[in-house]
Amino acid sequence: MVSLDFIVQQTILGLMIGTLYAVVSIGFSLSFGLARIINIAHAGFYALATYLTYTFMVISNNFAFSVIFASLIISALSFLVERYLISKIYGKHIDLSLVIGFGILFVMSSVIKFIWTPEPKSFSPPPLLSGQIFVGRVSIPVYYLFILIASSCIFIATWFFINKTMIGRTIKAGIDDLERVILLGININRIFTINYVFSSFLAAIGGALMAPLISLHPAIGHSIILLMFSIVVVGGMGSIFGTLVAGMIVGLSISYTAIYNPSIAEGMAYLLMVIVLLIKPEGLFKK
Amino acid sequence: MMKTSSKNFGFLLTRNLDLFIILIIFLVLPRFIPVTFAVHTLVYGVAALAVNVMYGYGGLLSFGHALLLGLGCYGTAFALNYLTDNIVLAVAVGALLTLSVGALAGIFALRRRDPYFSLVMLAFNVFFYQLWVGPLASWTGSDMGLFVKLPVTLDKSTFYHTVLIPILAILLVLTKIFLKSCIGSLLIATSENEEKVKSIGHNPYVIKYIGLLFSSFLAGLIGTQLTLYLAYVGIDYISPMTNPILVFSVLVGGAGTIIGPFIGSIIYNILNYILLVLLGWHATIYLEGIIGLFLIILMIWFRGGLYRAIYRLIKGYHLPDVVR
Repeated sequence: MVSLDFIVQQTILGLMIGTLYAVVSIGFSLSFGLARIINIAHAGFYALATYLTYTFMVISNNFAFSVIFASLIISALSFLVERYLISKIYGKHIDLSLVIGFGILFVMSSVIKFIWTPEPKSFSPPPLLSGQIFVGRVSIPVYYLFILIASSCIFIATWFFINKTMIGRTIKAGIDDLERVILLGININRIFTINYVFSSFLAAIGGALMAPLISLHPAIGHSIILLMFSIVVVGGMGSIFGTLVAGMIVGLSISYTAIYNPSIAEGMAYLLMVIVLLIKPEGLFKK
Repeated sequence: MMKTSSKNFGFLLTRNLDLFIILIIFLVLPRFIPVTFAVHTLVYGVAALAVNVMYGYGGLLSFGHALLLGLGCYGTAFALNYLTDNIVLAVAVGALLTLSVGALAGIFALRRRDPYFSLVMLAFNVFFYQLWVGPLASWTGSDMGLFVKLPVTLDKSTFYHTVLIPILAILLVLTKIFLKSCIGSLLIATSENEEKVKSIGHNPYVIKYIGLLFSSFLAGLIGTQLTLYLAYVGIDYISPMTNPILVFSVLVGGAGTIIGPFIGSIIYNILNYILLVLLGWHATIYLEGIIGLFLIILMIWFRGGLYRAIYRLIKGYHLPDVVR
């Protein structure tokens, strides 16, 4: 019999990790909503960011520096990828972006295997963020609390970026009606580029924050794709609030399933996606 | 009398030249590479053809056909290990298992178009893969694979020539018939304009569903043959990592042609063979990257595929988007 404390703990952990999944998925959702591309390369940036964070941690042993530096490098890389590959497929059939995305993902995981070898790697969070807090008999790792705070900050910043700045508002308008935005004389390609780099930056930060929690292996990019897609489908594409709630729902479903059998935990998320596709194909939180 | 029959044969040959070319290629292939590689080329070729039925003709890119291939393999293996000694029955069980899962996946995956179909198929594939390595591991052997007790064993080369080649021929003819049939034409029409198909009184969902069923039949049946050949099923065949190989084969050879997937499969397997010979175990590291690079280059600059390029060189004009 599973104790109540354990269930409460799994609930809290599921919610917290769900916010981090949501951070990773926002960019996916934005590029799906705005540019109508399935940005599989997003998962590649995520995977690369975890490995870069690992390397910087080994070199400098400074977590904040590692996270920020890894995210900046990934953003620069994503700018190049957007400029020379992704920009050629805007407005074309969506299959193109799918195949090219998988291509980029495979090249990246091959590069990861080449540089970091296929053996799993792991590192622990910095001493300030390790340890546990006890609330009654429920123990919560400090790092999970840090994740919750960090993801909340990222979400608030993203919300401000999308709703309060000119570029963000253009992105939001583009998600609603792309043609009218173009008719207004806005250089949509520049908006696409900014959106892409911003998305990749979020993926990289999500990956960098996720890195101490998981064991790094070259296929982590592959495993996050469907998770992101489930979150986007459940939340509705292009919706920031929906992504956050969907991330939490998916995190919860994963952590509850993990009580019974961890190996099919992610399968539950896909099941959730399939059910949502059946009953409300446009997403639970899409107006 | 004699003259007309020879004329008929000539007509048959010119209309179905691609089928004969494929058969001849596979007949001579074991002379150049080991038989096991030739068998894998054939199996991946037919599985890629199944992807092509959905993508090249139906306009729906699938990233989940490895599931169908793997279920064919595992269905036969289960039947032979736990149920029966009859090979034909075991093959039927494998094909039925594939068809039923294909039918189940179709209910969900075909609800919406493009990205949803590919990724829901992929989700099904990953879900079954997790079932296979997780809760069902005691049945499936997980990473170690599953050894199969075959009631009859044939010599490898004999099996290739007496079983696989005829089955390939049957499947090719079936594919040709399917694509030329009314439902095949409707499938192509659906990929071009779903609204128009709807307006002339057909249900696009049903058409795509039948296409998916046929496609799962192709992939599943060739999977059963792989089990019979190897007397072993590896987890690789059901792994989602096999999907890029199939999609790569379709795109390299040329989507929307029957011969294209086989050309792609031959290129992939020969590439794999050369890399294995040159680099040994390290080949897997580079293979993934090379496939990725090819996917990018093909999709941006050479969307037609190799078969179209060769055709244009020889004949001097373009092939249409869909060749039946």
